Amino acid sequence: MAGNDIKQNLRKLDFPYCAREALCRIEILCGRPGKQVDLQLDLISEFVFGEIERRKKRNLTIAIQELQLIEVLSDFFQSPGGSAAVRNAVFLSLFPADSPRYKILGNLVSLVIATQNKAVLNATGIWMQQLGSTSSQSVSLARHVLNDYFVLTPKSIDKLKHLPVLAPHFTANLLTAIGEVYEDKDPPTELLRLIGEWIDENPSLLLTPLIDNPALPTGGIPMTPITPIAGLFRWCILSPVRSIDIEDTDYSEERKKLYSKIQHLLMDSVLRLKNNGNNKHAISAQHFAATTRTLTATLQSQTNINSILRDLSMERLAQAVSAAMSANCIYGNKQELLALLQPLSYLHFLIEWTLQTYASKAA
Amino acid sequence: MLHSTGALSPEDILAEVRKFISGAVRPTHSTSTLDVTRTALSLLRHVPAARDAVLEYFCNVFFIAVTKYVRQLETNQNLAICEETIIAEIHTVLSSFINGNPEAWAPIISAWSLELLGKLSSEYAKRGNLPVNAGINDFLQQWMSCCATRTLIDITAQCLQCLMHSDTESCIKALLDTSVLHSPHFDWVVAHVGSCFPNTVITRVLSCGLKDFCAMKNEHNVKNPKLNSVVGILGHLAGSHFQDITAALLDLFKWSLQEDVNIDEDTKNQKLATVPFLLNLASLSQTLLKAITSDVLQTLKPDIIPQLALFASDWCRYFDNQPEALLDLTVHLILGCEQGGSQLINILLDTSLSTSNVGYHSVNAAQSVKSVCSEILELVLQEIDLLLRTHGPQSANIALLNSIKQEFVVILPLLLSQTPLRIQTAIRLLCFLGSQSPNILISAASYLLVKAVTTFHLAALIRLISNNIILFSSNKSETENILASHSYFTQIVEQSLRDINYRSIIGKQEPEQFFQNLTILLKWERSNKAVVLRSKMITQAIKFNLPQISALLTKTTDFDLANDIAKMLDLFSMPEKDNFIPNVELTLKLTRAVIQYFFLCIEKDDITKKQQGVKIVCHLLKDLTFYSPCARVLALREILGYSINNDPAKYFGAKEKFVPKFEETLLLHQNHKQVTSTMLAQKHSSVFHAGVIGHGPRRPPPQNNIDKEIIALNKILLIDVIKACCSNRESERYPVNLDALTMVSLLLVELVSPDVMYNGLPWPDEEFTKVTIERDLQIHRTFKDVPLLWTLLELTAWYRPALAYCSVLLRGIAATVMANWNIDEGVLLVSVMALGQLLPPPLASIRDVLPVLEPQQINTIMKECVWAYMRENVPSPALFTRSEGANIAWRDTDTSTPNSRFTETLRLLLLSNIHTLGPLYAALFLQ
Repeated sequence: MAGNDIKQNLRKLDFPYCAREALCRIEILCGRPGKQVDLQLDLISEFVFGEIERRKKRNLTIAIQELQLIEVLSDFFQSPGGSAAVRNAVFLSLFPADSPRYKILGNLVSLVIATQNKAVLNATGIWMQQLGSTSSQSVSLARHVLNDYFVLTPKSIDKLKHLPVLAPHFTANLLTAIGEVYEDKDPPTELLRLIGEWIDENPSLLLTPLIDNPALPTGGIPMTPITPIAGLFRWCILSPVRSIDIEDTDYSEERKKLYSKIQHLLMDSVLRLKNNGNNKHAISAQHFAATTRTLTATLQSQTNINSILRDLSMERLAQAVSAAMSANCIYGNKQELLALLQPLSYLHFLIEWTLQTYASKAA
Repeated sequence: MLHSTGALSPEDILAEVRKFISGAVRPTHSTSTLDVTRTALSLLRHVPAARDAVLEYFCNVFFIAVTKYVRQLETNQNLAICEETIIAEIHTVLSSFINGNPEAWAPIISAWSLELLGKLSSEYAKRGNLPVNAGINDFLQQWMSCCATRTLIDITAQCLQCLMHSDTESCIKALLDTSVLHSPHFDWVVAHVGSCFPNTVITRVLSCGLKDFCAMKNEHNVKNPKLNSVVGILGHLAGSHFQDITAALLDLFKWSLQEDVNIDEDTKNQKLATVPFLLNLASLSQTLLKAITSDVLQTLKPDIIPQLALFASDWCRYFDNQPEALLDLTVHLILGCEQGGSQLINILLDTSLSTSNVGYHSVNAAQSVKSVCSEILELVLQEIDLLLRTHGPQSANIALLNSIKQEFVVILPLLLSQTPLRIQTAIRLLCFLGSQSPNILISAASYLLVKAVTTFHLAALIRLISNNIILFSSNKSETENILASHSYFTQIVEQSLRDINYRSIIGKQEPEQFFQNLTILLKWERSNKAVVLRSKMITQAIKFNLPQISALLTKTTDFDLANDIAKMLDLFSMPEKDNFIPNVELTLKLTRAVIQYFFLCIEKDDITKKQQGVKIVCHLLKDLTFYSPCARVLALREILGYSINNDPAKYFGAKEKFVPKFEETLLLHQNHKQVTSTMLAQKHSSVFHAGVIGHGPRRPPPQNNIDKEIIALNKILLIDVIKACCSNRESERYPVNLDALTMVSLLLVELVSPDVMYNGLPWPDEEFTKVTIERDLQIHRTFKDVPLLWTLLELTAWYRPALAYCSVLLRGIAATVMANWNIDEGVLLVSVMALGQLLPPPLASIRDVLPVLEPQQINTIMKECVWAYMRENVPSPALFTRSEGANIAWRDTDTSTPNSRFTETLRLLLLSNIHTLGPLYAALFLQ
């Protein structure tokens, strides 16, 4: 069927039926060779998101229609039939890297987390991986989810509990993004607790991006997965030197424990990689290097940090680096990382030891 | 139903979402609204993704509710709106969100509610029953009585309250942004919210308005809607936060004056625009004008004005480059000031009269500022004048004038200024005020009358009066009739007198000044040069106020004041005595007052002043007594009574009055003085004849230590005054009225010897003196104590036959001289009698004989010659003959030659002393 015919037919339909119908058409188009990408994009723009001027008249109740659309989308991806790869491709074309549809995506993800819509969650996971789970898009998606579930409706945190079981790939990517959300500030305690539980109950969660292969349509190139490990290590390493202001002791005590727990779990995960052949890309040396730089800068700028806390930070850094080195799951410019560790080695013996042990290996 | 809390299963959530969507997309069944809302609320709690949709749906609900409300308003129905319960539920849930987690929810909900409010306000602005030109308060009232909008406002306020601490700026910004979008219909929200956070909102609203004003300067012909919004909002807030507004305006003004080099172009423009902006604000709202004037005016000091001058040309740009427009606006604003009016006038005056150029950037600038100030002042005055004339003084309501009326005490000192402009301004203002309430004119004029030191100021007073004479005659309504009835200068004088009488703080200077001024005015009137004064209003005024003036003269003990009053009275009574004959009461009062003044003069040491004063007294008394016999009686009695018996007697040589003082002592102390012997009253033990026990001997009265010459002068003056009282105007030749002098002698008798018995003219048998001895001694003592009596007797002796009525006094003294052979008194007595022609020629010479006689000879001569002669020849006025038209009676010496019985003793005594009295003997008996 020619593109214009499809459009004419669809135009006879009202929202939200046209959106639903358009999605089916796009799915069909995607499954074919010679995908007619332009037509797909037209359909998406006009019938799914109603961005064409002609359809703007229905825009009096934008948010409700958005909700309707979200409902249609979640229903569509969950509907039986159709291959996962094609649907993923549709998803990717629905939310391309530079479109203004993140808000809808955010709400969609937020809703499907609540409704436990596995299909959409998986597709989102792949979306995140393809855009890079530390990319700004992914991070803002993660921020949206966190805002919805931790800030606005803290009562609904429970909904996130079973996420690793339901959609491990999505969860892992989300976790990587969350690691970046709290790049330079401390995450809330509830989040720490939740992540601790997640990793505790699903030890393989951190490595999921490495193991799972995304279902992409033929010809699709999967992007390098990024594990949450480095991001979470950063939390653990930087948190002691950051928490200068004395808080409520119970509270900070609990946080200390949570950080220790996560550090422990991270170490476990890394060490588990030791005998795995497929582990080369678990951790980026750049990621660690950035953390090291931040720590060095913090230690230099703030001289009044409690020495116990300072030692704890450096100890965790040394642990993380040495563990990653020993498991040989670190990639990128290791020399630079080690060079950055050099100034800190005078402050802590464990770093010095790490340097001595792995300097030769890195070469 | 799954509305209860608790976790929902994913399937339930999906079902709920679908249910909500189906309900929200087709909002046809109103019955289901409640149901859908509940679903929505549950979604809001559990499904964050649906938040926007749910809030949007709530918008619909509110819209429906408001539509119904407005329709009811328009149709005057009053049915329950079912959405109200739903709205209440929504309110509860949203509040709980805001309270539970303000940082997260408040921005979302406040943004939503503000937007919704904005939409609702704009949408329904033209609906309802509001008039076309409804103000902010009408809107506020309409919307606050609508459940939906009230709820929204509550929610908004709650959100802002939560956010205020953390994020004030963005809150207000959101508020004002919405306000800009939906202006002016949204103003009521800003106003209401503003009253929750007055400080921030006021400041921000102002700065927002200023920015806008600055940007709009080019298209000023169009009424600036934003400015109106600002005014509306501030006007609403002024009700409860007037102080905050005042402070904010002041801050803004001060900020605009701060000099700062490092500011960008925008800020600079804003600073320049501040004053025009404030002026515009003030022109749009009386309340804001009040706010501005109450504080900003206080900062308008002379050092600030040069600073302002620098910007003036830039201001004109905001008025289409027409300085006249700026001037006009300024003038109208000044007219609208409800307070600080006098301060404004003073600023204008000070600036336009200031001679210093300090602070100005050039001499020209200083000059132009001064000329602009005087122009503004002139324009203001002209405008007031015009308004008063067009609307009539009672109906014209000029705020400035009212303000000045309240502080008119501040305007008054301007009247006494040295600069003509100030005086003129003050007079014009007072004339304006006077046209509304004449009392002000009167107090102002009386102020001027009391305080004016130079004739220049008096001229100003005349101007003030004359201006209003014209005004009064032009429209005579009820109130003015009071003034018309007796000229209102009378009232001015009355008011001044009242002030002098009752205001104790008033300085000594002022009453004197008042009478001096009155004198000057009177002179002017008499000179007949001033046309205005031809109505004789000053004479009228004094005439009317004579009772008060005389009371004041009676009361005062201050010679200078009394002198001024007397001078004034003197001038007043000078020429036209024919016109004015005061009634009896007033005459008596005046007489008494003048006599008081006389005694003040007598007390005065300065001889020149004393004589001048007495001259005036004589003049006044002459007038008074001539017209009124009562006055004469009173005057004589007063003068004699005082100068003989009372305090002033000492100035005429009398002994000082001496009242021995006994202190009250405790009985106990008195008893302590007693010895054991019993005490009987009036016995030697209690009374010692030379004194009182415990107080030593009786002290003699203190010596009269007044200079003899002064006493002599005083006596002369007293005689002059008495003569003046007895004046006779009918004939120039005989200035003294005999009847009046008879009265004097009768009065002397009454004062010295007020007995009923043996007080007649005839001299009894000599033996009878034994009966009257006590009274005789009394008379003798009085004459001894009060030597003035001799002078008075002399006076009566001069004007025969008045002395005859003093027969009893002469008799008493003669009796005592016989008893104690006192030569001095004998001489005095005989010479007085001789002067009064009571003793005819040979006997009249006894006064020359007495000093050389022996005591028993004195006794003999007094007995045989004087007493015996007088007993035979009763000293009656009938002895004297008065020729036609003459004023003095004469005793015919031929017929009254004494019998030789009375002269023989004298002759013999002369003979026995012939060695010394030879020539006298020859003169008396040998011719």
